[in-house]
Amino acid sequence: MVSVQPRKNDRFQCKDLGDEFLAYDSEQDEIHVLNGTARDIYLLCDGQTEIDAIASSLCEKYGVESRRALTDIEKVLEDMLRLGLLTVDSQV
Amino acid sequence: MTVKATHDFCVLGHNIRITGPADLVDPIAYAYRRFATSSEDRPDTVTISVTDARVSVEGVVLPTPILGHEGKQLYQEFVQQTMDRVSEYAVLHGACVVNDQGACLLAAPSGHGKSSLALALAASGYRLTGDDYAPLDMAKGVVLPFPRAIAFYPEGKAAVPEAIVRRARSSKHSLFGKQIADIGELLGEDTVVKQPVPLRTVVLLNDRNATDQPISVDIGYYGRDALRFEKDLLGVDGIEITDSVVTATAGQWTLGLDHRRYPTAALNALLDRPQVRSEKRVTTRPSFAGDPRLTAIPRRVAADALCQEILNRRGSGALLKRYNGSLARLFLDVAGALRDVRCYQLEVGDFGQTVSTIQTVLRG
Repeated sequence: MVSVQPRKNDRFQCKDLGDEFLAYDSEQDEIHVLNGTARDIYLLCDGQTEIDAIASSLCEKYGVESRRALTDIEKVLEDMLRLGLLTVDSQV
Repeated sequence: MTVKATHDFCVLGHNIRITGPADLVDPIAYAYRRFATSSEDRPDTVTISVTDARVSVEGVVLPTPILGHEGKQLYQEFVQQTMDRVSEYAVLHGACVVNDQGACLLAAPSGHGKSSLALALAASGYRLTGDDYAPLDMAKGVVLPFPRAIAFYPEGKAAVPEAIVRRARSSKHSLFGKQIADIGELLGEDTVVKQPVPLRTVVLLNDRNATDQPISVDIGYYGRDALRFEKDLLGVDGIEITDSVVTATAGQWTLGLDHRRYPTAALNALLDRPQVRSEKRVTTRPSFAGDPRLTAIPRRVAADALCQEILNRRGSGALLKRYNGSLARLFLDVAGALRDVRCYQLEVGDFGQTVSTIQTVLRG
């Protein structure tokens, strides 16, 4: 079984503005803007928390149904992995 | 006989000396009197001097200006040399009023009424860090005082309170056709903020019919390659030269901008060249008619607008060097400084109503 525990990429410098979250990519010299939900997901990605646990945490916070939340969170995580905001160390 | 004068200043921690004919140097000294310092020699002092109508910086003589005169060139160099050295703060283009909750920055391009609004607010009891320059300490989220004299046309159309206009008219000091008056003399010493103040509110002033983008830009350039620079300007899509004077050593242009063709990024890259000694961006000026309209905006949007008008963001200046030339990193720090700041856009309307709207915002 593969467990996925995404973690933040060190090359990003971040500022939490409250209403939005900015992540500066020092390699690309560009800034990504995360909304409130994406911010919450990103901050939970500590390299130790699995996606299911991230989903549970957000379901509790926003009061949404877990199956739907998981689908949405996976999509956000895919985007963040594609942009390099997150990386994954796979463990078998 | 020409009377010579020398004055020393410490502006945001940087020492600068101007020396030359008193009629050129003294008005600047008055405008910056609250930055005056003792005349002892310091190793880091930058000296700007005027001799035989030629301006020099640290002994290097600058080309003669095409338009204007050596007095204006001296002042431009004074401001430029100072701003180029400031790396610790982002000097925002705005007036900053203060109440017991903190500082409120009124930011806008020239001609949008920020000085007039700041004076009106000062007349109703608010204090002032400055009417044009607001140095922001991004790490601490505070605005530093910049108590340069206030400059304006007493006969102008701006709706400055009559009592202040009367006092300003009595000022004997002027700088390039504008009357100047010390903030304390004009508004009372209690109005002058002398310590850094936490930034609490940003209000971006604009006009309902205007874009935030400049409609034209005036550029002054000193260098033997002015014709080549003109060619570079013409190579930018969306730029039209509407007026120009080019000599062997300098150039001056007025540009019209067509923002449908996105000329700003390419133009900013050209304006970052060290030979560009002056630039003035002209935007559509507000009409001060109708009802003002206040809208809350995201901090990121406010930071973006503020970064467009940072007065020490030249590519060759110390601030951008600190960020290795990255405007994105600078933007990140400016935005970070707004973490606890309420941000608004205010479409200005009737002057009195606009002042009332800002007062409502300041009361929280």
